[in-house]
Amino acid sequence: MKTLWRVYARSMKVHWAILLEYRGDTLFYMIGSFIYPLVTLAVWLAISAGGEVGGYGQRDFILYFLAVLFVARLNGAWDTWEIETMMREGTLSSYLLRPSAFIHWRIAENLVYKLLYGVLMLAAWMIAWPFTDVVHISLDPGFLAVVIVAILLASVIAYMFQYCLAMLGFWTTRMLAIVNLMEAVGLFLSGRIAPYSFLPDWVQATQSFTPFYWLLGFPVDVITGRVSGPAVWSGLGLQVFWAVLFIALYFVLWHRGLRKYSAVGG
Amino acid sequence: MQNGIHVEHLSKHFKVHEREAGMGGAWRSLFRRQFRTVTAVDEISFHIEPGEIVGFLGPNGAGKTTTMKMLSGLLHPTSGELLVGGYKPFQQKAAFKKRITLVMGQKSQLIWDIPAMETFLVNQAIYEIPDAQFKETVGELIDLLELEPLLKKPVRNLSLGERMKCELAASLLHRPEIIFLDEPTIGLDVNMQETVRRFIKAYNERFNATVLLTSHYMADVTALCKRVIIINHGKILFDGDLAALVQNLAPYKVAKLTLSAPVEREHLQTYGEILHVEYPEVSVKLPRADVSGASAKILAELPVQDFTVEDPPMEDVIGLAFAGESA
Repeated sequence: MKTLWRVYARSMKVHWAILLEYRGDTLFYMIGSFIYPLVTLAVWLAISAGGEVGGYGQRDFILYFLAVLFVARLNGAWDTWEIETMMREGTLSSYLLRPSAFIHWRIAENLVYKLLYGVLMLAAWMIAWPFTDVVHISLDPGFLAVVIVAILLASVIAYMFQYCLAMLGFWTTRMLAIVNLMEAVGLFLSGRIAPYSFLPDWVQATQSFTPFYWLLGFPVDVITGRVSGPAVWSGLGLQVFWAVLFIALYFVLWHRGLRKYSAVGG
Repeated sequence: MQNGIHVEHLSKHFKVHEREAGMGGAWRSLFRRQFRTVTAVDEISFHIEPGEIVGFLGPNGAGKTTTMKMLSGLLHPTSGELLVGGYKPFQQKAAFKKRITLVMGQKSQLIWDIPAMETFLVNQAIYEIPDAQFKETVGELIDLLELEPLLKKPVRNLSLGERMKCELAASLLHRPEIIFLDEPTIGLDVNMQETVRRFIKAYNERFNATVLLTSHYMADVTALCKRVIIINHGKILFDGDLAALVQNLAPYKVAKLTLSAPVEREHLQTYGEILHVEYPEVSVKLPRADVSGASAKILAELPVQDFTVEDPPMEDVIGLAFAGESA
């Protein structure tokens, strides 16, 4: 445990140094990632034209997409692209030779970026607070605790989902195509383009059976107060289910994948 | 406890997907995939004692890297027995990984964008190296490899040779007792090759480390290895002393003479096969069994100003080994 702690502490320092080395890129990525939800927001504001659509008024849309922007930054994962390159170029091998699982190195990187994004966005939210009541959410400690847990679970689900997809690279060279397909489906099913309640009923009915809502839409609905009461608890329960499922799947895919990798060479 | 390397009847087969060139081939392979089994390593056996430095030689595609990858646990053998430092490598136990290292001249483990020292510190955490030992080892490596001026520069700004030195340091921080070096001097200039060789030798002596080395530079092999294993088409062609290899495979020595007066080529041929004539320099092959007799005859009968007898160059001998197998 102590070793793992030291591995994370050291790896995170290194990833922080790399981030600083590429601070310009990081800034552009971050700004770039804001464009999507902001444009979507503008579209919905135009559609609602000052009135209401599906129970969402202007203020609701703004809060919704700010929450999407916030959560989407904190549940981001880009491991499939990195791992695909490492498999293709054979650099993964040098990590496999080390007595520490490769995923720790990857998670450390993810955490560094999220800590930075989290701090920046929290600061932005706090700065905006006195100027507009759109960003006002309940400050009840119990509510905030639920929000934090929902975002944490959403990040675990999103990350492990990505990582499991990355593991498919052990079997196919078309892994990135599968990832792109998943992203396209996720765009709708996660609530990124429109609140989940806007989707057709038959799509909403699949909510529990895919991970997408639980890695973005659910924490956003909790923040905006659309989900409350017992639905919060059952939602958190489903989040735990998906998180555990993907973690378990990771172990299976990783060990089988390594055997495959070691059978065909890297 | 040191156990060296034990390999018995080790084989590795790869299943490769084959398809014909062109659109037709691509289309057909979409529906009916053709596979062919390739034997990369074919029932090889050898033992390496702790502290030995062994050269592992063979042309490209001979099975060297595949064998190294099996020895380091990256590849699962198709069949055969394999024990490295007392462990089965493909089980990939952490305790095993802490005792070995694999340095690939063409692949880097250094973190590209930041100074090499950062990679060293990550490895310290991963390999659980105590602070005192880490300081001592890094200090030694900095001295031996003259790393001091390199440590503050991002890895991407280092030259190929500088990077290799940092690569070696990063790979040896945990003081592995078994070292696999796959082309460690590839692309380096002569001075840097010499530095790397000296370093490998020093590390081997200091820690009694077992070293298996592949290289295309014969100078690496002759400088470091008393013993060589030659592999081609996945099979071992020779395993033994470098000196014995020369004797076995090159049943001749080369006499180099400087003549003080011209001699007819036909006459020179009576002493042995002529390798090269450009008056006054002549090279003649002498049968190994009769080197002294033939030398005495040359010295007595020819107008010789200078005379030496040497083993043929190692490149030629290895070339003979490869050619002999394929014939």
